[in-house]
Amino acid sequence: MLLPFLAILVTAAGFFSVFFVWRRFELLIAGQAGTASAIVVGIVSMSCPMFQWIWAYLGVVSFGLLTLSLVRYCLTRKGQTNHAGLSSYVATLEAQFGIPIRVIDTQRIRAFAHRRAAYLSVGLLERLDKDEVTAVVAHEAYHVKYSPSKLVSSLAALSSLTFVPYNDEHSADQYAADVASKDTLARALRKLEIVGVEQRIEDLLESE
Amino acid sequence: MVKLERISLRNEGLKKFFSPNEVRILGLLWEKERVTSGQIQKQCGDLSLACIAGTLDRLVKSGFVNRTIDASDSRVRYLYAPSCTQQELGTKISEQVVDCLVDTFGTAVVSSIGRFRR
Repeated sequence: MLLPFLAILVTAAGFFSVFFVWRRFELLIAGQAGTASAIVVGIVSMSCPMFQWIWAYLGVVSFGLLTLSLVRYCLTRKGQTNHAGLSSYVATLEAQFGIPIRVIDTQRIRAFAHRRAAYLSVGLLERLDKDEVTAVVAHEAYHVKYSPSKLVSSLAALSSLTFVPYNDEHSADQYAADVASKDTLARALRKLEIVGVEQRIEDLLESE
Repeated sequence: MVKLERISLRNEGLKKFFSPNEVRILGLLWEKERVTSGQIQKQCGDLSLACIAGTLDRLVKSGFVNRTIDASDSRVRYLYAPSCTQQELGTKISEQVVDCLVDTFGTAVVSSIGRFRR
């Protein structure tokens, strides 16, 4: 009777290990969904005839895959501005940092990382110099590559995994300062009109 | 479309239908036809960039202003142009307001407007 429970746990562990190798956060969610259903199915299968664990196993796998595809769907649904003249410049930045970059259609100066992509506004591309844009993209690339997403860190905290949400704006700034320079990043940050920007620039310039 | 709930009959001129900043920017656009946000900022020196950007986004969203992305000569920027002339705007708003009045008061509105016929 322990067999189905083990098989399901192995699958869930598979999702987790792939997550740690590829750092694909949707796999972490799938892994958590897998673990949750493994516990449920494990309890249920205690009172089931032997062969039913195969169905339970398939159920869990498809549940995991369904979660995976749902998260992927939400990822790609987000709208983006496509403009022929922009694409070559954006493609250069994408190639430099190895992350997808989407352009949002607003005059406001905005930059953020959402899920696994960096978002820049047309207003930002207009008002920041090229080296400042590079610094901003480097900052967002750090978030894309190394920061846990809000959803994932809160989910992980809920399921009491050892995955503590943390604020890593400072680390992202450090990373961007290494790629561009501290002064360039500081200039870009001032143009972005973020709340508490002076403190952030102070932290940046004081650090070694 | 002008938001009917935003019409305030006590205000002067176009400010009956638009915010003061919207009126200023619309005026500039009618004057110059094709401008960048930088040119607008120069003309409206007392307004912050964030304020101008917000107003422009709103005007584009409500359809009174069109913008295109200009990515020539290795820089990216928006070019703004009014979507209609001052005259056309007058026609649009009048139709909208009169429709609304006729809905409420019927033929009384028609005879009232008849006064302006020569």
